[in-house]
This record gives sequence, structure tokens and C-alpha cells, in this order.
Amino acid sequence: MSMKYILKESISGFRRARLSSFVSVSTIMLSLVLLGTFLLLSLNAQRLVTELRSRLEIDVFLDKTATDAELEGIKTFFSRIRGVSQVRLISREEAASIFQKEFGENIFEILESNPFPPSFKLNVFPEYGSLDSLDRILPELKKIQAVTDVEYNRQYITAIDKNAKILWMISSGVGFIVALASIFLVSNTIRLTIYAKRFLIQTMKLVGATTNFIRTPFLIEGFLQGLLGGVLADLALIGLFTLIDANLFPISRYLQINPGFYLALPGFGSLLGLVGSIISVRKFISMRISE
Amino acid sequence: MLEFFDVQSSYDGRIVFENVSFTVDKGEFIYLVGQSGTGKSTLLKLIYMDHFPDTGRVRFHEYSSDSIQKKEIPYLRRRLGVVFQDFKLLPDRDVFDNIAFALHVTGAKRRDIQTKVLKVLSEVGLTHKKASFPHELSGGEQQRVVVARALVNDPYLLLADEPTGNLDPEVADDMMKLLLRINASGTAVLMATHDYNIVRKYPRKIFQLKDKSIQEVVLKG
Repeated sequence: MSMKYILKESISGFRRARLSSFVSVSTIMLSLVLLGTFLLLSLNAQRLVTELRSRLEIDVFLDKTATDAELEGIKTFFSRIRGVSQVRLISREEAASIFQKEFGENIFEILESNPFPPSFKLNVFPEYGSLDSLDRILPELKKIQAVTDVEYNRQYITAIDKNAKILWMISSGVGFIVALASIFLVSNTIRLTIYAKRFLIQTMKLVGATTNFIRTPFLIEGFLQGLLGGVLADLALIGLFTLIDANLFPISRYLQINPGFYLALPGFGSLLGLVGSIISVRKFISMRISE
Repeated sequence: MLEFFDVQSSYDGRIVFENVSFTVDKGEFIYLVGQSGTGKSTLLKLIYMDHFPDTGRVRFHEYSSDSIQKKEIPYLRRRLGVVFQDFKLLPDRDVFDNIAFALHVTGAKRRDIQTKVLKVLSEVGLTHKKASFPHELSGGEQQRVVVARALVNDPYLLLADEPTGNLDPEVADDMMKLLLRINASGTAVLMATHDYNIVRKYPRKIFQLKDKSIQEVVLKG
């Protein structure tokens, strides 16, 4: 089997069937723009949820009598708890000065002694910023005898959990439908492209072409169409996000696009083109010459 | 070279013929005649194994219908040349590429392809049309390109399904002369036709398909 001939055939497939190649590439491009836009919005929404989860703070209040050495030991214990990303000590003095900053009053002018206990401000890794994880972390904190109280915004985290769940359900549902529609659309377009070349396939069979010889140019052509469709989808999305008016769509300011995303689209496009071709060409190869 | 042994074949659930046995030897020229629907095309399909017998066996060269594997069929077809009534040329390739195509399929070298295509084009008298596209050719010329493509792999047997069916009498006559020349150079030809004028003008061995069976017939007078 001459690879050179097969490559030449694959590329000239574009030239020989300009219209159907154009339709195929455009369909792949549009499918990927649709899928890409959805993916971007979904990934950014996911990022927002992660960001919100990482903002969760847990305040752990301790007994006023805890010594510096004890505080140091507790800090080490807290930082070893799974899921805890940061532990910061708020000393009694620091607590008093925060009070003064926030309320504009010197506590020592109101009371004779400092009423504030020492405390720790804990942050958790985003993936631990859920109710389930907190329910595992909190008992760990309370194992320390000097801990008098643990405070965190349970409503905040409940709202995040609830919305994240809705978001996940919507994005997987819509994502599944969009992906399925793309695959269906692309494989049908490729099937039409190959249908237009059924006589070529029949003639190839008649003169003794092996299945691989017939199939390979179509697979390469499908792969190249997918790659081209993916690159064009990239360009379309770059154009779209560059031109989008931030005043009309304020959300666009928060969109972050991972450079890997622009590699993923041509990659997915090529895969789509390849798989579409494999499925479609198989049908025509298995047909009888006389059909 | 080609042997049908007690073959029964059906198409769309209908038995087309049964108990068909005959042989074609090297260098023979045989007409396959019969009314429309008697199974001439089906019989040819059995030879290039686009269709398989219900019972019995078709053997061509080293390939037998009861033992051939799917992946061997392309190699059988390379030993056959097939000419259809409805040309089946690729409209987007010129004459040279239409013929070269049959050689590329076999993995032939570029230099050999050039030589063989030009040789076969000269045999069918179309060297001057090598850069023309099918739509620029007359019906007779197109059919000769198909013959050239069928010949380019030096087949043992040329199968022609109504090769003169779509041609004017004069052009059909030229086509017959071409097929006879090919046969004279050693290639066996099995030609399905219902054109009795041709059969009478160029008498050769005749097999007739009639009443679901085959028999050799001799023309009177």
C-alpha cells in the first residue's frame, strides 16, 4: 500500500469535493463553537464555585488561658488536619486591635481587661469547602480541649453546595445533549460526504482495493476536516471573546480561558472527524458493488 | 481457470438459477446470453464474489467461493477485469488517472504505472485522450477506457456485462473487435449480452441461461 498515494488521495479529497468538504468543515466548526462556548461557560461557572469555596473561613476560639506554647502545638495540630490549607493565629491583642479597627473604640477604655480570647482563622482547600467535608473537619477541631467555640458561615456553604449541585446537573445535562448533537450532526455530514463518493468506493472494490486502502484516505480526510474545523472554531471563539462588549455582558470580564482549551478543540474536532469517518465509511465498504 | 460446480443462486429470496455447472478455460471467448432477468449479471457477480452461491461452488484460479476469506476477495478481483454497461468511470479524474487508479490499488510503482497505463491506452487506441475527463469523451471512448482499466492488471479473465449495450451499432462493433483482439492476445473473455447480431457476426462458444439453468447452444445456419 503506497502511503504517498493514500496521502495524496486524502488531500485531493478536499479539492475534488469542495462543497461537501466545506459543509463538513463548517458543521464541525459550528458544533465545536457551540460545544466550546458551553464548555467555557460551564468551566468558568465551576471555577467561580471553587473560588467561593476557597473563601470559606472557620474561626476557632480558644480558652483565654492558653499559653503561647499550647497555641503553637494547636496550630501544628490544625495544620495537619486533612483539607486545611491555612491556619492563622489571631492573638488576644490582635483581636483587640481588629475590634478597634472595625468599631473605632478602644476596648481597654470600655473594659479594664482584654475580653477577647485567642483564636485561629482556618482556610480549607476548595475541594473541602462543602458541608460534607466540614462535618468531618469540625469534630477534629473540637478534639482540642482548649477550643471553646467554632464558627463558620453555614448558610454560605449550604447555598454554595445547593447551587453547585444545580449547576452540575444543568451543565452535565446540557453538555451531554450538546455533545450528542455535535456527534450526530458531524457524523451525518461526514456520511453525506462519503455517500457522494460511494461510486469511488464501489470502483475501488471492483478493481481489487483492500479495505484498508479504501478506508485510510477517508479517515485521514475526516481527521483533517475535524482538525481544520477545530482551528476555525478556535479562531471564531477568540474573535467572539475579543469582540464581546463587556458593558453589555459584564460576565465576560470574569471569563478565564485556559490555553489548553484552544488545543482541546482541534483535538476533539479531529477525533470527531475520525470517528465519524470510521462509522460512515464502514457502512459503504460493506455494501455490495451492485447496490 | 473458472469453474461453476452445481451452483444454485438466488437474489432477493428468488432462485435465479440452479444446477449450473460449466468451465471457462484459459484463452477462451464465451458469450453468456439470455433474456433479461435470467441471471447473467448475477452469474458474473458470483465470479467476482460480490454475491455467493446458495449451494455449489464457484472456483476461479486458486480461489473458491466455499473457502475464500473476505480479505482475499480484493486479490481475486485483481486477477479479473470487469467491464460494465454503465461505465463506472470516476468523473473527477482524467483518463490516465482512471486507469492508473487500478494499479495504485495494487501498490504498483510509479514508473511501472506510467508504462503500463500508456501501453494499455495504446491497445485501446486512446493515447491521445489520456488527459481528457470522462465527460469529454463519447460513450464508445468511455467504454474503451473501462476496458483499458480492466486490462491494466493483466487479468486472466475479462468479464464484460453488456459492454455494447449503450453503444451505437458501429461503435459496438469496434468494441467487439477490441474484445476479440484482447482475447487473441491470451486473455479469456466472458461476455454477457443479449445482442444476437453481435453473437451471429462474431461466433464463439455460447452459454445460454434459460429456465433457471444453463446450457451450451450452437447457432443455426
